[in-house]
Amino acid sequence: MLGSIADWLAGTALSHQLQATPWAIPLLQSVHILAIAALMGAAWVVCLQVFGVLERVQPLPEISDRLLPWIHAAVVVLALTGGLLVVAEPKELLFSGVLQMKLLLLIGALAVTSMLHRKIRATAAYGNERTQSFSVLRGIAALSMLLWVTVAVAGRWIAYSDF
Amino acid sequence: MTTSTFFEWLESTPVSVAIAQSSWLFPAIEAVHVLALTAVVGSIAMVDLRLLSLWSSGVPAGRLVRSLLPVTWVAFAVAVVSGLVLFATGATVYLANEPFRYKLLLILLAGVNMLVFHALAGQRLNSWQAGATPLFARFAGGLSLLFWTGVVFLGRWIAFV
Repeated sequence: MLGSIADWLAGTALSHQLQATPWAIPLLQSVHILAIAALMGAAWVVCLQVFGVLERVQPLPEISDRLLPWIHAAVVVLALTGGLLVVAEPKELLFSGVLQMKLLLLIGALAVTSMLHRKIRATAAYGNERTQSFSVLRGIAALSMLLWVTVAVAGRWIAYSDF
Repeated sequence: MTTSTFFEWLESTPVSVAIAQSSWLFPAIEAVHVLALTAVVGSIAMVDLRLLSLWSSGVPAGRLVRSLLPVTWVAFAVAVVSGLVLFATGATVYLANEPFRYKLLLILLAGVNMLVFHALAGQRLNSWQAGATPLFARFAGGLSLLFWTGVVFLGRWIAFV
């Protein structure tokens, strides 16, 4: 099934157009990386704020409110540019085991990040950060950061893998 | 030792050769470089968009800058070290690569822009409330966004020429 999807995508006018434009792939990849910067910047700040590493300039729920739009906008741009990159090289990318793994990790990263931001709002007792529910919040933040880092590393690895 | 023999020596050191010949070391260091770069650009973009009043951080610009600086500097240090290691694996090739040379130039310009901005802004940075940034601050924020976007584009272009 994947094979017929790849064949169909490779035959589309858009795929031919992208293939015929020498700067299309580096351009899409650059925009993709810029969106990763927006996402990773927001993810690091939220995670480090939860851990208390960065100076707490405002309450955590407000930090989450201010930075969630960065993550949402980045995910939209990443899906668009990532989708176009697949259309440009469907036969190389759809069968890439690394890309398939990246997409699985991405689902995990999105789920844990969404959980993190809901938990930030649900954790009421910010006065005392030694509570058990705050430890849970730290655990979720660390897991979400770890997943985003793995997604990004897997993304870079697509270009180097043979399977 | 002339500069060109220095760069030839640099890419022939055992460490450079080992990284260049390994099947996973180069991509691994490159992945670290890209991760660090995204943290640098992401955290700087927050300050830039705040200065341009395109994003509301909810706190005065000075406090935002102070809280983000550790992220920017640690990530920048990691990006520079990993970048130097990647450079050492093919110093003469990178030096001849145009996107690479322009990328270095843009990083330099971004640094000068930041220094000039902080010299002009000084302590006033702490008093700018949402939407109340002076013209030179907006200008510096716009330039910074342009420079760092250029750094990302040129970095990706190194592999395509």
